[in-house]
Amino acid sequence: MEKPVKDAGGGNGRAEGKDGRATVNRRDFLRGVAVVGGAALLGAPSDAEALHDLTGWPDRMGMLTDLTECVGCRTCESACNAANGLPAPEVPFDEKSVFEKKRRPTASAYTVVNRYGSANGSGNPVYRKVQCNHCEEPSCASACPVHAYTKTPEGPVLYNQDVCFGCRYCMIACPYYAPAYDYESALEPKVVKCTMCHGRIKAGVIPACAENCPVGAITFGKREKLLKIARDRIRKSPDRYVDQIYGEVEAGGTSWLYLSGVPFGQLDYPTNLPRKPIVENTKGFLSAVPLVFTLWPALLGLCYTANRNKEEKG
Amino acid sequence: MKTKAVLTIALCWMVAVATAPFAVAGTPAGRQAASPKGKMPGTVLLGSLAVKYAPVKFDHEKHVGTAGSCNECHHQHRGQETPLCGGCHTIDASSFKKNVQLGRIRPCRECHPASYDAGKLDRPTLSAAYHQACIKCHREVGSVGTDPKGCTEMCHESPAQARAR
Repeated sequence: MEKPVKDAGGGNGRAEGKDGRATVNRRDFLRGVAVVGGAALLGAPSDAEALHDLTGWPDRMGMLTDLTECVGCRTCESACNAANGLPAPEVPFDEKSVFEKKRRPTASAYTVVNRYGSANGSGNPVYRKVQCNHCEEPSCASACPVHAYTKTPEGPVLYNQDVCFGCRYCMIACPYYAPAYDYESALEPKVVKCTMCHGRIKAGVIPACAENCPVGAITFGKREKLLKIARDRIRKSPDRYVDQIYGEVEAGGTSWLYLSGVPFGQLDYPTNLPRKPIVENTKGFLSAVPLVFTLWPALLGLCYTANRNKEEKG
Repeated sequence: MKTKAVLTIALCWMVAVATAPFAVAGTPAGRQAASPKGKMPGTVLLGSLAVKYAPVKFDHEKHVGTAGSCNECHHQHRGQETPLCGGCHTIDASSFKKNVQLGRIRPCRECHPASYDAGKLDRPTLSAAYHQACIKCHREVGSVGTDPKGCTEMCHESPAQARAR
């Protein structure tokens, strides 16, 4: 095998062949492969390591829902509807028949209230408000192939319809089944979920549901402060609350926090979620994907160039 | 001469003693009538927050009879440390022995913000404080707290009801 002519400079591994085309020095090629491959191997874990230490945006906001205060008046649903300009509901907001079955947020209702326990049975029924929990490290964002989701510094997780192509991976990835799909708009894919009234927060107004809740069941404020308030309530009224703030650590924590008088499992809250963000399970793999997409063509291209030269020369 | 001086001093002292209660009563923070019931509000119109519904007609007198204790509504701080009495009541020593409630009751809005206040997140807003205080007893009385329509059953007057009236 004829050795390619060594580059006089010897630095970049590129040399002019006899026919004037670029050729690659084998030693430099192997060196390049080692460097690039090493970066590919090392790059992913080091990124994951750095992201693992994320503590979140410092002044992010949150919502504390005290289920012991909620009386199922559905004012939050009505306020959300008005604030987001959603279509009028099929059943009026002062109708209690909706409690007969468990509902999920839909494209026309970003939040719904469900009732647990009989209204006529012993003890008061418990009402649970359901909406996007705005995770600290959202799995919808990690599952989205086109980066349609953003965790904003203010706390809300926002969805961008402009880039969405309707794969609905986010709906599968969400442990709370929060994102809904607008099946009415077939040609323009649209996932719909609570925005935590991001626009209002930016304008200095609190989210509509928190502003309108008549019984003060929803408190809006800095997440860190809300955690302190929640702990304080549990400490002062240990008989009133179960000793857990749901959303503090579930799946890495959420912007929405909940206090309840009954175990959260009885209210259909997922209780099998890991403490670490779900993103952690795929972060290593997913952070390698861009490297594979960018580096492999380069590597394969190098191989191809080297082989082509060899064939031509051989 | 000596007798006259003694009589004058005695007369002055008696006049001073007799007028002292009136002097106290004349101060701005003076005590109210001896009968607490007579000074308590009767029906109160709670309307400072009214937007969706007409102002609530709250029959205070009726609640005094049924609540059992003033603490059931006032000073309901959910197990928190009870604040100093003087924080809400202006009390003078003479009335204290008879009835603490004789002093001025500080309005709820002085502590409970009428709208969102980021500095007072641990304190219910005025609307929340009213609702929490009422719902504590009224939940599941009729359909309060079990039916969204329960709002207009006992306390609130819907726009339609207000029009009909």
